Amino acid sequence: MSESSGIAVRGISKTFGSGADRVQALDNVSLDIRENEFFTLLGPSGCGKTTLLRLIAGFEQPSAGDILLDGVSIAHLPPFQRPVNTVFQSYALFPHMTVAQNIAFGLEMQGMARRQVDERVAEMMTLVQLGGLEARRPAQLSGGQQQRVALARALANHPKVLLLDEPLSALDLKLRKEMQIELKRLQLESGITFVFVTHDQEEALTMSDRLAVMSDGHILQIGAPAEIYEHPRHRFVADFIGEINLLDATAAEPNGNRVRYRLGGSQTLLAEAADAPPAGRVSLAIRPERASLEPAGEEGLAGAVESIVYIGADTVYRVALADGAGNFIVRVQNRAGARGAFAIGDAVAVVVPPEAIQVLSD
Amino acid sequence: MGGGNPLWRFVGVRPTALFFFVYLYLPIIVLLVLSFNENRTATIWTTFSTQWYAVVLDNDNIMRAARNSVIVATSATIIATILATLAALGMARARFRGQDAISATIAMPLVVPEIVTAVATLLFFVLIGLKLGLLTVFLAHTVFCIPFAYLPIRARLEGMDPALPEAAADLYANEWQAFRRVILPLLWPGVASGAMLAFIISLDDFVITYFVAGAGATTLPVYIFGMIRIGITPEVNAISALMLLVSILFVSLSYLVGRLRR
Ligand SMILES: Nc1ncnc2c1ncn2[C@@H]1O[C@H](COP(=O)(O)OP(=O)(O)OP(=O)(O)O)[C@@H](O)[C@H]1O
Ligand SMILES: [Mg+2]
Repeated sequence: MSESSGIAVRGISKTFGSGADRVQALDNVSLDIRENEFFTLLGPSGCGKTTLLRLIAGFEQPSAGDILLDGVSIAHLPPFQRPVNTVFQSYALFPHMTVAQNIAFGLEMQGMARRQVDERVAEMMTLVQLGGLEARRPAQLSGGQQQRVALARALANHPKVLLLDEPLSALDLKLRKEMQIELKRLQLESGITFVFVTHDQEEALTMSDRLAVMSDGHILQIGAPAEIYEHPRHRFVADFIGEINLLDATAAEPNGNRVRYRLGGSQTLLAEAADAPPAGRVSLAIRPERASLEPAGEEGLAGAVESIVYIGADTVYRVALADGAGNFIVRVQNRAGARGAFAIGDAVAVVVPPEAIQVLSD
Repeated sequence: MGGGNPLWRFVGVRPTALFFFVYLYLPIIVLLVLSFNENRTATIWTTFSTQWYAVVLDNDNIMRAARNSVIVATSATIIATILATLAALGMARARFRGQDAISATIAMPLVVPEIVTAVATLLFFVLIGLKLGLLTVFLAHTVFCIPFAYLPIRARLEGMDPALPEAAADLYANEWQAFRRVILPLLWPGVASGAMLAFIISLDDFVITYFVAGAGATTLPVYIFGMIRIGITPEVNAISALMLLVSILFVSLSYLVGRLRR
């Protein structure tokens, strides 16, 4: 893979409207999407995911910045000249055409010979497992089938990049899970770069090679799912993805290659020090499954069990920390069955290994 | 009747509705009946006859007026529909400043009193020195037909998923191909519906035509008006009945086509 293959977004900004109606949908966004990658844009509603996708597709023009595909700027090409295809959230199947005609459309527009078009359409029908439905109209298909046609229509063109804007959001949960697996399979088989938009963090974690977490027109963090989950670099990212404990703290004294943080009262936690440990007021982010509960008196955060929720594989304890240091969620695997070691009101120590603590500057 | 619509439960709805329909349609029914009257005096019934229809179809002046009407209606409809389609596409494309003003301007001929338009148009033609005739009638008709053609086309476009033209562009169709292959096929019921409405409006117009038609450019409504001034004859009833038939045909077609593939 050469330096310049894939998509490079360089300092893209996009504003809509003017005066009082002005909306800054994207603010100086840069990112690199590698070839053959399943890349996800994840963020809450209104953070600019669709806008970024539409800029790559060419439906919107950037207010500033550039977009490169394999090292060549495509920012000023109209959509029909970009080797990029889109799966629309509404599917946008042509209602007056049959399934086969829908899939053939892009190929015909590129001037492919009839025989080849027919071959490619047949190939696509098999790929998305829709054999026999060639002559149906979109209105005669189920939501899941329409979804597959939209995929086939886009993939038939062998684009360099496939853009998918929340393609699964209209499907029910079961179908959604099936299509997640299906999409992953299609991406691996076709070797096409997928840029996938979702606001479902679980979907993003399970499907992506890498993902970008967006908020309010900015990209906060880019990384592999495990990296984003284990090492969030922003409070927002930590909070948005999965369940996490966020504790306010101040840096006390360095202790070798570790730093002791003071939470309030006499409560302290020892954390692994980064290259340049943040000083002053910080947040300590700790996943519930990385902490453990021990009887009171052990080295850890002192507190009392406030609630216990049994959820099958795990039990979730909510601990009220002493000295007003806040609440702490601990998730314990039920290795020994449902019989928990602690009851509500028990005094406990929450033990957190130094490497499980992510120190975030506020 | 009475099962589905809760309106029927209100006291007095039935008699009011009945009165309304009688009020609207009784004169037309009387006209239809009298057009089959054998008696020369149009308002006194004797026996059934279709002779007046034969007389009408045999009258060169009436047939010439009818031909003028069809020529004007057809050409005005074609031009008005093309312009209305372009306007609707332009308005649907994007939000821009002054859009509401333009929208109102397009619909303006619907609310301006016809007599004002008629006088203004006549004045305009005289000012620029255009000789009154079929051409001036055609020009005037094109203008007032545009809003009638525009409204169903615009409605159709508004019901269309805005992602469809984007999907076409995404699939390598240039603007013309996207229009030809995706937008027009989805739009055509609206276009056809608008065209048929425009045709009927043109065929039916009296006031403006009366002002801007020259000597040789008499249309059917203007001719009927001329006949009425001499007296109501059975021929007038027969032509009117024929025009009614054509109107009903086109309006029904327009309605049916407009509902296609909704
Ligand atoms: N055409 C437009 N005109 C004006 N504002 C727009 C336009 N398109 C998007 N915006 C605004 O830009 C911001 C980002 O919108 P965008 O559609 O990219 O969000 P999103 O992340 O896709 O959200 P969602 O998850 O709800 O789809 C929003 O505040 C939105 O209101
Ligand atoms: Mg969106």
